[in-house]
Amino acid sequence: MNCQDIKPLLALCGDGGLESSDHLRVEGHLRDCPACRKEVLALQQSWELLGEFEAIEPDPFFVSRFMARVAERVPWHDRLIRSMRRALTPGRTLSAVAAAGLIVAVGVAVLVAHPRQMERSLAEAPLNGMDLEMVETIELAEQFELINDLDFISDMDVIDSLDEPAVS
Amino acid sequence: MARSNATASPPPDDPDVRLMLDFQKGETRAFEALLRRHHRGVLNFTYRLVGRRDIAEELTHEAFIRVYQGASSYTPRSRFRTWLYTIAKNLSLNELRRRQHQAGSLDELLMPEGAGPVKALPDAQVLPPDEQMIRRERIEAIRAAIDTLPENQRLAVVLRRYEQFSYEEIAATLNVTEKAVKSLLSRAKVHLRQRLAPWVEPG
Repeated sequence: MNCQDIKPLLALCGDGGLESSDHLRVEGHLRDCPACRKEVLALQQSWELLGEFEAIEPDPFFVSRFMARVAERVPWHDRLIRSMRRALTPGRTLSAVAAAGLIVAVGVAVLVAHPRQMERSLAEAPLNGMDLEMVETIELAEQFELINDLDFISDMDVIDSLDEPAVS
Repeated sequence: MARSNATASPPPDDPDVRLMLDFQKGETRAFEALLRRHHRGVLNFTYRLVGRRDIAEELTHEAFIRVYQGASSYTPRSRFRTWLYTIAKNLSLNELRRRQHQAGSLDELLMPEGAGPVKALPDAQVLPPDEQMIRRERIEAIRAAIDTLPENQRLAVVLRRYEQFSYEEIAATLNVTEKAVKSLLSRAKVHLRQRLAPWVEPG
Protein backbone atom coordinates (compact mmCIF):
# COMPACT_ATOMS: atom_id res chain seq x y z
CA MET A 1 0.00 0.00 0.00
CA ASN A 2 1.52 3.38 -0.98
CA CYS A 3 1.30 6.76 0.73
CA GLN A 4 -1.44 8.07 -1.61
CA ASP A 5 -3.69 5.15 -0.70
CA ILE A 6 -2.98 5.51 2.99
CA LYS A 7 -3.39 9.29 3.26
CA PRO A 8 -7.21 9.40 3.48
CA LEU A 9 -6.98 6.93 6.37
CA LEU A 10 -4.30 8.72 8.36
CA ALA A 11 -6.67 11.37 9.66
CA LEU A 12 -8.82 8.72 11.33
CA CYS A 13 -5.93 7.11 13.19
CA GLY A 14 -6.36 7.24 16.91
CA ASP A 15 -9.95 8.45 16.60
CA GLY A 16 -11.67 5.08 16.49
CA GLY A 17 -12.70 5.72 12.92
CA LEU A 18 -10.81 2.94 11.19
CA GLU A 19 -12.17 -0.50 10.46
CA SER A 20 -9.96 -3.19 11.96
CA SER A 21 -8.69 -4.29 8.53
CA ASP A 22 -7.73 -0.70 7.62
CA HIS A 23 -6.16 -0.25 11.01
CA LEU A 24 -3.81 -3.16 10.37
CA ARG A 25 -2.84 -1.85 6.93
CA VAL A 26 -2.15 1.64 8.25
CA GLU A 27 -0.10 0.32 11.16
CA GLY A 28 1.93 -1.78 8.77
CA HIS A 29 2.59 1.18 6.48
CA LEU A 30 3.52 3.55 9.30
CA ARG A 31 6.14 1.11 10.54
CA ASP A 32 8.06 1.65 7.31
CA CYS A 33 7.19 5.24 6.36
CA PRO A 34 8.58 8.12 8.46
CA ALA A 35 6.85 10.73 6.25
CA CYS A 36 3.43 9.28 6.99
CA ARG A 37 4.31 8.95 10.66
CA LYS A 38 5.13 12.65 10.69
CA GLU A 39 1.85 13.41 8.90
CA VAL A 40 -0.14 11.43 11.47
CA LEU A 41 1.55 13.32 14.28
CA ALA A 42 0.82 16.70 12.65
CA LEU A 43 -2.82 15.73 12.13
CA GLN A 44 -3.18 14.71 15.75
CA GLN A 45 -1.48 17.86 17.02
CA SER A 46 -3.68 20.22 15.01
CA TRP A 47 -6.74 18.27 16.19
CA GLU A 48 -5.57 18.70 19.78
CA LEU A 49 -4.91 22.38 19.18
CA LEU A 50 -8.61 22.91 18.53
CA GLY A 51 -9.07 22.51 22.27
CA GLU A 52 -7.67 26.00 22.80
CA PHE A 53 -10.89 27.37 21.33
CA GLU A 54 -12.44 27.13 24.73
CA ALA A 55 -16.04 26.91 25.72
CA ILE A 56 -18.00 29.94 26.84
CA GLU A 57 -20.02 29.83 30.01
CA PRO A 58 -23.74 30.45 29.81
CA ASP A 59 -25.59 33.08 31.74
CA PRO A 60 -26.08 31.59 35.24
CA PHE A 61 -29.74 32.67 35.13
CA PHE A 62 -30.44 31.19 31.71
CA VAL A 63 -32.71 28.43 32.98
CA SER A 64 -34.86 30.59 35.25
CA ARG A 65 -35.11 33.34 32.62
CA PHE A 66 -36.06 30.83 29.97
CA MET A 67 -38.81 29.28 32.10
CA ALA A 68 -40.17 32.73 32.93
CA ARG A 69 -40.21 33.80 29.29
CA VAL A 70 -41.74 30.57 28.09
CA ALA A 71 -44.55 30.87 30.63
CA GLU A 72 -45.45 34.17 29.00
CA ARG A 73 -45.43 32.67 25.53
CA VAL A 74 -47.36 29.48 26.16
CA PRO A 75 -51.08 30.04 25.45
CA TRP A 76 -53.31 29.73 28.51
CA HIS A 77 -55.11 26.71 27.09
CA ASP A 78 -51.80 24.84 26.65
CA ARG A 79 -50.96 25.53 30.28
CA LEU A 80 -54.40 24.30 31.31
CA ILE A 81 -54.03 21.11 29.29
CA ARG A 82 -50.61 20.45 30.83
CA SER A 83 -51.99 20.98 34.33
CA MET A 84 -54.82 18.59 33.60
CA ARG A 85 -52.42 16.02 32.20
CA ARG A 86 -50.31 16.35 35.30
CA ALA A 87 -53.36 15.89 37.51
CA LEU A 88 -54.61 12.91 35.54
CA THR A 89 -51.48 10.80 35.47
CA PRO A 90 -52.39 7.12 36.22
CA GLY A 91 -51.37 7.20 39.86
CA ARG A 92 -53.05 10.48 40.53
CA THR A 93 -56.22 9.64 38.59
CA LEU A 94 -57.01 6.79 40.94
CA SER A 95 -56.54 9.03 43.97
CA ALA A 96 -58.61 11.80 42.40
CA VAL A 97 -61.48 9.43 41.59
CA ALA A 98 -61.40 7.94 45.07
CA ALA A 99 -61.39 11.38 46.65
CA ALA A 100 -64.25 12.54 44.45
CA GLY A 101 -66.24 9.43 45.31
CA LEU A 102 -65.74 9.99 49.01
CA ILE A 103 -66.84 13.60 48.73
CA VAL A 104 -69.97 12.59 46.84
CA ALA A 105 -70.79 9.90 49.38
CA VAL A 106 -70.39 12.27 52.30
CA GLY A 107 -72.46 14.91 50.52
CA VAL A 108 -75.30 12.50 49.83
CA ALA A 109 -75.26 11.30 53.40
CA VAL A 110 -75.49 14.86 54.68
CA LEU A 111 -78.29 15.75 52.28
CA VAL A 112 -80.30 12.70 53.24
CA ALA A 113 -79.81 13.14 56.95
CA HIS A 114 -80.05 16.91 57.14
CA PRO A 115 -83.77 17.65 56.26
CA ARG A 116 -85.04 15.15 58.87
CA GLN A 117 -82.67 16.60 61.34
CA MET A 118 -83.97 20.03 60.57
CA GLU A 119 -87.60 19.03 60.92
CA ARG A 120 -86.89 17.34 64.20
CA SER A 121 -85.14 20.41 65.47
CA LEU A 122 -88.03 22.65 64.59
CA ALA A 123 -90.62 20.39 66.10
CA GLU A 124 -88.77 19.87 69.28
CA ALA A 125 -87.27 23.29 69.87
CA PRO A 126 -89.43 25.38 72.27
CA LEU A 127 -90.17 28.88 71.02
CA ASN A 128 -89.06 31.66 73.28
CA GLY A 129 -90.86 34.99 73.56
CA MET A 130 -89.09 36.66 70.68
CA ASP A 131 -89.51 33.67 68.37
CA LEU A 132 -93.17 33.44 69.16
CA GLU A 133 -93.72 37.09 68.40
CA MET A 134 -91.90 36.61 65.09
CA VAL A 135 -94.04 33.66 64.12
CA GLU A 136 -97.23 35.58 64.96
CA THR A 137 -96.02 38.53 62.88
CA ILE A 138 -95.33 36.24 59.94
CA GLU A 139 -98.78 34.70 60.24
CA LEU A 140 -100.30 38.13 60.40
CA ALA A 141 -98.40 39.22 57.29
CA GLU A 142 -99.63 36.17 55.44
CA GLN A 143 -103.19 37.01 56.47
CA PHE A 144 -102.64 40.60 55.46
CA GLU A 145 -101.71 39.57 51.92
CA LEU A 146 -104.83 37.53 51.74
CA ILE A 147 -106.89 40.45 52.97
CA ASN A 148 -105.36 42.73 50.36
CA ASP A 149 -106.43 40.37 47.63
CA LEU A 150 -110.03 40.21 48.78
CA ASP A 151 -112.90 42.29 47.64
CA PHE A 152 -113.91 43.79 51.00
CA ILE A 153 -117.67 43.73 50.61
CA SER A 154 -118.21 40.45 48.79
CA ASP A 155 -115.87 38.45 50.91
CA MET A 156 -116.90 39.58 54.38
CA ASP A 157 -117.54 36.03 55.50
CA VAL A 158 -113.98 35.20 54.59
CA ILE A 159 -112.77 38.03 56.75
CA ASP A 160 -114.95 36.94 59.58
CA SER A 161 -113.64 33.43 59.35
CA LEU A 162 -110.09 34.65 59.79
CA ASP A 163 -110.84 35.47 63.39
CA GLU A 164 -112.14 32.02 64.14
CA PRO A 165 -109.71 29.67 65.84
CA ALA A 166 -108.16 27.13 63.42
CA VAL A 167 -109.56 23.60 63.62
CA SER A 168 -106.65 21.27 64.44
CA MET B 1 -22.91 12.66 -0.72
CA ALA B 2 -25.86 10.30 -0.59
CA ARG B 3 -28.25 10.96 2.22
CA SER B 4 -29.72 8.08 4.06
CA ASN B 5 -32.09 7.45 6.92
CA ALA B 6 -29.18 7.19 9.28
CA THR B 7 -31.23 7.92 12.37
CA ALA B 8 -29.92 6.32 15.49
CA SER B 9 -32.79 4.62 17.27
CA PRO B 10 -33.23 5.90 20.82
CA PRO B 11 -31.42 3.72 23.31
CA PRO B 12 -33.97 2.31 25.75
CA ASP B 13 -32.12 3.80 28.69
CA ASP B 14 -31.69 7.33 27.31
CA PRO B 15 -32.47 9.45 30.40
CA ASP B 16 -33.13 12.48 28.21
CA VAL B 17 -35.87 10.67 26.32
CA ARG B 18 -37.47 9.72 29.64
CA LEU B 19 -37.31 13.34 30.79
CA MET B 20 -38.89 14.50 27.56
CA LEU B 21 -41.70 11.98 27.90
CA ASP B 22 -42.25 13.10 31.50
CA PHE B 23 -42.46 16.68 30.28
CA GLN B 24 -44.96 15.56 27.67
CA LYS B 25 -47.15 14.37 30.55
CA GLY B 26 -46.95 17.80 32.15
CA GLU B 27 -43.89 17.55 34.39
CA THR B 28 -42.33 20.98 33.85
CA ARG B 29 -39.41 20.08 36.11
CA ALA B 30 -38.40 17.42 33.62
CA PHE B 31 -37.95 20.09 30.98
CA GLU B 32 -35.92 22.20 33.40
CA ALA B 33 -33.67 19.20 33.95
CA LEU B 34 -33.15 18.89 30.20
CA LEU B 35 -32.33 22.60 30.03
CA ARG B 36 -29.73 22.28 32.75
CA ARG B 37 -28.15 19.27 31.11
CA HIS B 38 -27.87 20.66 27.62
CA HIS B 39 -27.98 24.42 27.44
CA ARG B 40 -24.23 24.86 27.86
CA GLY B 41 -23.48 22.36 25.10
CA VAL B 42 -25.97 23.89 22.70
CA LEU B 43 -24.71 27.39 23.44
CA ASN B 44 -21.15 26.40 22.62
CA PHE B 45 -22.18 24.40 19.58
CA THR B 46 -23.99 27.39 18.10
CA TYR B 47 -21.24 29.75 19.21
CA ARG B 48 -18.58 27.74 17.42
CA LEU B 49 -20.65 27.83 14.27
CA VAL B 50 -21.79 31.45 14.20
CA GLY B 51 -18.89 33.04 16.07
CA ARG B 52 -20.93 35.52 18.12
CA ARG B 53 -22.02 35.03 21.66
CA ASP B 54 -25.13 37.22 21.48
CA ILE B 55 -26.42 35.37 18.43
CA ALA B 56 -25.50 32.01 19.92
CA GLU B 57 -27.57 32.87 22.99
CA GLU B 58 -30.58 33.75 20.84
CA LEU B 59 -30.21 30.57 18.82
CA THR B 60 -29.90 28.49 21.97
CA HIS B 61 -33.02 30.06 23.38
CA GLU B 62 -34.90 29.46 20.14
CA ALA B 63 -33.76 25.84 19.98
CA PHE B 64 -35.17 25.11 23.42
CA ILE B 65 -38.35 27.02 22.62
CA ARG B 66 -38.87 24.63 19.72
CA VAL B 67 -38.25 21.65 21.93
CA TYR B 68 -40.69 23.04 24.50
CA GLN B 69 -43.39 23.67 21.93
CA GLY B 70 -42.75 20.37 20.17
CA ALA B 71 -43.32 18.36 23.32
CA SER B 72 -46.95 17.53 22.62
CA SER B 73 -46.05 15.77 19.38
CA TYR B 74 -42.66 14.40 20.47
CA THR B 75 -42.01 10.80 19.46
CA PRO B 76 -38.56 9.45 20.34
CA ARG B 77 -37.07 8.20 17.10
CA SER B 78 -33.47 8.93 18.06
CA ARG B 79 -31.46 10.02 21.02
CA PHE B 80 -32.86 13.25 22.45
CA ARG B 81 -29.48 14.94 22.01
CA THR B 82 -29.53 14.15 18.31
CA TRP B 83 -32.92 15.79 17.91
CA LEU B 84 -31.91 18.82 19.97
CA TYR B 85 -28.68 19.40 18.09
CA THR B 86 -30.40 18.95 14.75
CA ILE B 87 -32.67 21.82 15.69
CA ALA B 88 -29.69 23.91 16.82
CA LYS B 89 -27.80 23.03 13.65
CA ASN B 90 -30.65 24.12 11.40
CA LEU B 91 -31.07 27.38 13.27
CA SER B 92 -27.34 28.07 13.05
CA LEU B 93 -27.16 27.32 9.36
CA ASN B 94 -30.14 29.56 8.70
CA GLU B 95 -28.36 32.32 10.56
CA LEU B 96 -25.16 31.81 8.58
CA ARG B 97 -27.06 31.85 5.29
CA ARG B 98 -28.94 34.94 6.32
CA ARG B 99 -25.65 36.67 7.11
CA GLN B 100 -24.12 35.42 3.89
CA HIS B 101 -27.00 36.95 2.03
CA GLN B 102 -26.54 40.24 3.85
CA ALA B 103 -22.73 40.27 3.94
CA GLY B 104 -21.01 42.66 1.56
CA SER B 105 -17.81 40.67 1.58
CA LEU B 106 -16.50 37.31 2.56
CA ASP B 107 -14.45 38.98 5.30
CA GLU B 108 -17.60 40.37 6.86
CA LEU B 109 -19.14 36.93 6.81
CA LEU B 110 -16.13 35.27 8.40
CA MET B 111 -15.25 38.00 10.87
CA PRO B 112 -16.92 37.18 14.17
CA GLU B 113 -16.51 39.26 17.26
CA GLY B 114 -12.74 39.63 17.35
CA ALA B 115 -10.75 36.89 19.01
CA GLY B 116 -13.73 36.08 21.15
CA PRO B 117 -13.67 35.35 24.85
CA VAL B 118 -10.36 34.05 26.03
CA LYS B 119 -10.73 32.25 29.30
CA ALA B 120 -8.63 33.79 32.03
CA LEU B 121 -5.86 31.45 33.06
CA PRO B 122 -5.50 30.49 36.70
CA ASP B 123 -3.01 32.66 38.56
CA ALA B 124 -0.30 30.01 38.43
CA GLN B 125 -0.52 30.04 34.65
CA VAL B 126 -0.63 33.76 33.96
CA LEU B 127 1.41 34.41 30.86
CA PRO B 128 3.60 37.39 30.11
CA PRO B 129 1.87 39.95 27.86
CA ASP B 130 3.62 38.88 24.66
CA GLU B 131 2.64 35.25 25.24
CA GLN B 132 -0.90 36.30 25.99
CA MET B 133 -0.99 38.04 22.63
CA ILE B 134 0.38 34.94 20.90
CA ARG B 135 -2.27 32.85 22.64
CA ARG B 136 -5.00 35.21 21.41
CA GLU B 137 -3.67 35.04 17.88
CA ARG B 138 -3.52 31.26 18.02
CA ILE B 139 -7.14 31.08 19.16
CA GLU B 140 -8.14 33.45 16.39
CA ALA B 141 -6.32 31.26 13.88
CA ILE B 142 -8.19 28.22 15.16
CA ARG B 143 -11.53 30.01 14.82
CA ALA B 144 -10.66 31.12 11.32
CA ALA B 145 -9.54 27.63 10.33
CA ILE B 146 -12.85 26.17 11.49
CA ASP B 147 -14.79 28.97 9.80
CA THR B 148 -13.19 28.25 6.45
CA LEU B 149 -14.30 24.63 6.48
CA PRO B 150 -17.21 23.72 4.23
CA GLU B 151 -20.49 23.59 6.11
CA ASN B 152 -20.80 19.85 6.73
CA GLN B 153 -17.13 19.45 7.59
CA ARG B 154 -17.44 22.27 10.10
CA LEU B 155 -20.47 20.67 11.68
CA ALA B 156 -18.75 17.29 11.88
CA VAL B 157 -15.65 18.82 13.49
CA VAL B 158 -17.57 20.81 16.08
CA LEU B 159 -19.77 17.87 17.01
CA ARG B 160 -16.87 15.42 17.21
CA ARG B 161 -14.17 17.57 18.76
CA TYR B 162 -16.20 19.69 21.16
CA GLU B 163 -19.41 17.78 21.86
CA GLN B 164 -17.88 14.28 21.71
CA PHE B 165 -20.62 12.98 19.46
CA SER B 166 -20.14 9.44 18.18
CA TYR B 167 -19.97 8.82 14.44
CA GLU B 168 -23.46 7.42 14.66
CA GLU B 169 -24.78 10.54 16.38
CA ILE B 170 -23.09 12.84 13.90
CA ALA B 171 -24.55 10.84 11.04
CA ALA B 172 -28.04 11.14 12.52
CA THR B 173 -27.67 14.87 13.18
CA LEU B 174 -26.36 15.62 9.69
CA ASN B 175 -28.63 13.06 8.06
CA VAL B 176 -25.76 11.28 6.31
CA THR B 177 -24.15 7.85 6.60
CA GLU B 178 -21.40 7.01 9.07
CA LYS B 179 -19.06 6.47 6.16
CA ALA B 180 -19.82 9.99 4.99
CA VAL B 181 -19.05 11.32 8.46
CA LYS B 182 -15.64 9.66 8.44
CA SER B 183 -14.95 11.11 5.03
CA LEU B 184 -15.99 14.59 6.22
CA LEU B 185 -13.78 14.36 9.28
CA SER B 186 -10.84 13.02 7.34
CA ARG B 187 -10.94 15.90 4.85
CA ALA B 188 -11.57 18.44 7.60
CA LYS B 189 -8.56 17.27 9.58
CA VAL B 190 -6.30 17.56 6.53
CA HIS B 191 -7.58 21.08 5.92
CA LEU B 192 -7.08 22.04 9.57
CA ARG B 193 -3.60 20.60 9.62
CA GLN B 194 -2.63 22.76 6.68
CA ARG B 195 -4.20 25.91 8.14
CA LEU B 196 -2.76 25.41 11.61
CA ALA B 197 0.70 24.19 10.60
CA PRO B 198 2.38 27.44 11.78
CA TRP B 199 0.92 26.96 15.24
CA VAL B 200 1.74 23.33 15.75
CA GLU B 201 4.89 22.45 17.65
CA PRO B 202 7.27 20.62 15.30
CA GLY B 203 7.33 16.95 16.16
